[in-house]
Amino acid sequence: MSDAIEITGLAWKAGQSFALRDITLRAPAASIYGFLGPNGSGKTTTIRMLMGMMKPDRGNIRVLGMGVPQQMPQILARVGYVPERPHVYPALTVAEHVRYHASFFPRWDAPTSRDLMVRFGLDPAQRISRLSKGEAGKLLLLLTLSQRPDLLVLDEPTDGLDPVVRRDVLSAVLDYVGDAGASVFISSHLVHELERICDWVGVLDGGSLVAELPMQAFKNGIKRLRVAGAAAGESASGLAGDPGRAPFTLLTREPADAPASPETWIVRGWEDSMRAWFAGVGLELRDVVDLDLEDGFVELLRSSRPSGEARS
Amino acid sequence: MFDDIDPRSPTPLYEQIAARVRMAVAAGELAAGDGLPSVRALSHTLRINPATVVQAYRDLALDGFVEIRHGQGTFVREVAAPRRADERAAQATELVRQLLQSAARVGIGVEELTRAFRSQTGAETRE
Amino acid sequence: MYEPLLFIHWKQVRIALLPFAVAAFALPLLSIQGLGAPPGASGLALDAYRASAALEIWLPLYPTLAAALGVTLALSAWNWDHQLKHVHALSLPIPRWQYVLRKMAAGAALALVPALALWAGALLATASVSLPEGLHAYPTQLALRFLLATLVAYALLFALAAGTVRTTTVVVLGLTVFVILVGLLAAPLATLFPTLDRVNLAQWLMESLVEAPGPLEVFTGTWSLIDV
Repeated sequence: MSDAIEITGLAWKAGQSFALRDITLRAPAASIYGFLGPNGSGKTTTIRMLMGMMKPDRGNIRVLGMGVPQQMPQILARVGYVPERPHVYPALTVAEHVRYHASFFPRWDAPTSRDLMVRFGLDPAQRISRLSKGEAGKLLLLLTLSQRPDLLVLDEPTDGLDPVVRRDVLSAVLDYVGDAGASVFISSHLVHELERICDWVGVLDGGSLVAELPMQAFKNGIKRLRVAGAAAGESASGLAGDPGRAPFTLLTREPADAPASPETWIVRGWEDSMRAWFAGVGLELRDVVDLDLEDGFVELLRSSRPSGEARS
Repeated sequence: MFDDIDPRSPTPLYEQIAARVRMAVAAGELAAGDGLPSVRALSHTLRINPATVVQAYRDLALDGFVEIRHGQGTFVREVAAPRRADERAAQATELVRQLLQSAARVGIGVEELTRAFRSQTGAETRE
Repeated sequence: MYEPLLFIHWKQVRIALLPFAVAAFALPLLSIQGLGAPPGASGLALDAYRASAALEIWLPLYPTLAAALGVTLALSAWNWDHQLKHVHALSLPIPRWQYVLRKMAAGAALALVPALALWAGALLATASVSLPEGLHAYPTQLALRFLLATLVAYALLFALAAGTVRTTTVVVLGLTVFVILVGLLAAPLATLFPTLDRVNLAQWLMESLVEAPGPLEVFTGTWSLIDV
């Protein structure tokens, strides 16, 4: 089965400040791929290009095995898209918009739409402009899921929603994945939300994809180490000396609190077998501490930016 | 039964679920023939990826703890007593390992731990 | 049969369509107010003069109404999509050209509403007046000309209305500059090329558009309900 999404060498520049730099990304079929990144990192722009709404300067995009933008109508018939901002006509009622939307999708499933209408507690006669943010978010999901898509592309679908609505939205997505075996590409800066549902994670920062790996590897691979015996100022590769370079990636290195205390190293790509390396270079590994996904995410971002750079 | 599942733990979710089921079988909470929650129901309750539940159930089937009957669900198999005992032993070992690790982190040695262990278990039998 | 793009356009324009329909219906009826055979029959020539004089005042209103209707239909076709930055339209699984074509057809269908109202009014006006000999009424032709004029205006502005404000401004400014430039160059060109018949390009362009078989002829042709 072809990948749900395959992006190669995507690049785009807008003026001086913002750019997407050589993004290469793969979301496997039937997976839930979390697209993480802080605000302004380029997630929405990437998604717009994925959906054929913006044209990149360079790069190749394939969705469900088909080329963007050459086969856009066929792709759009099988992709459910929830954009960052509601794209529904405010002057229509919920029922009118559902009917409008349904008329374009041959795979539209009316029972699904009816069930979700009830489940989400939406009033069909209510004008869309009068819906609350949460209700609008649920309507967008109703429209998307009733299309019975093979891929869901969700751009910050729970942003600004209260916890109750967030749960409703995510559980509806999970139920659909369970029923239909669809793939999901979901972008968010709410790390904890994605932690429980994503198989894969891609981290975008400053227009570059700084990491892409299975969620489990990402969570497991980032650790906080307590290391003793290291001379201050030496880099990890400097410490390696002859036996070879460090097998892990050193993200940050914090000096010891007190002379006798160990240093704190934040590393990525950690495996337990790497303990042996420390003795080989004359260091003492005192402890290995787990980091949760949010901490790992923060450390990864911090290390990928030039020191001292402030981000909003 | 799955209240302790923690998405933030480094242990993969599917492993946590499978471990919980294995323990439940070993402890007698689940008997042979009992049905496990459906993939859809469990993923809905825990708000996790259905694929995670599928993987957990598959691992359990490979280990011989459950039987997946297509179209009907997942059911607990008869697990021999020695096997159940092994599982309990493995769980106990894991608990002790974690305890020792936490203790080492704050500099508490095995002797202090043993004393604390005796006082706690002694107190319980006295009650 | 539910055509979604017709539904959407209808929703956007239905309130504005009403006054157009009313005006289209009323115009022919109002235009015949000056007519009517006087008690004692005068000569044919005087009646004909009176008839045409009475009608003349109303004549420019037809093309104006048609043009205004065309503009309204063109702008309302894209109004909501502009507000949403076309995101919803772009997420639909049909080719873009198909979306545009269906949208255009929807607006054209809506142009029928005031045209039919005009036809009804013209038929009623014709029926309620007794024409002097030698004069005929052309209610159907009038309604048809109105419909055509509306469609021409609509078609011309439809594409412009779809574009961004920036594109529209560029096009309008570009045309204005062109016209001015050509007007300015007319005199120097005339001295340079005295044998050339038409040096005023802008004027030539206008004339070819406005006189048959140019597309704008529909506006400048005859709008008389009653004629010889």
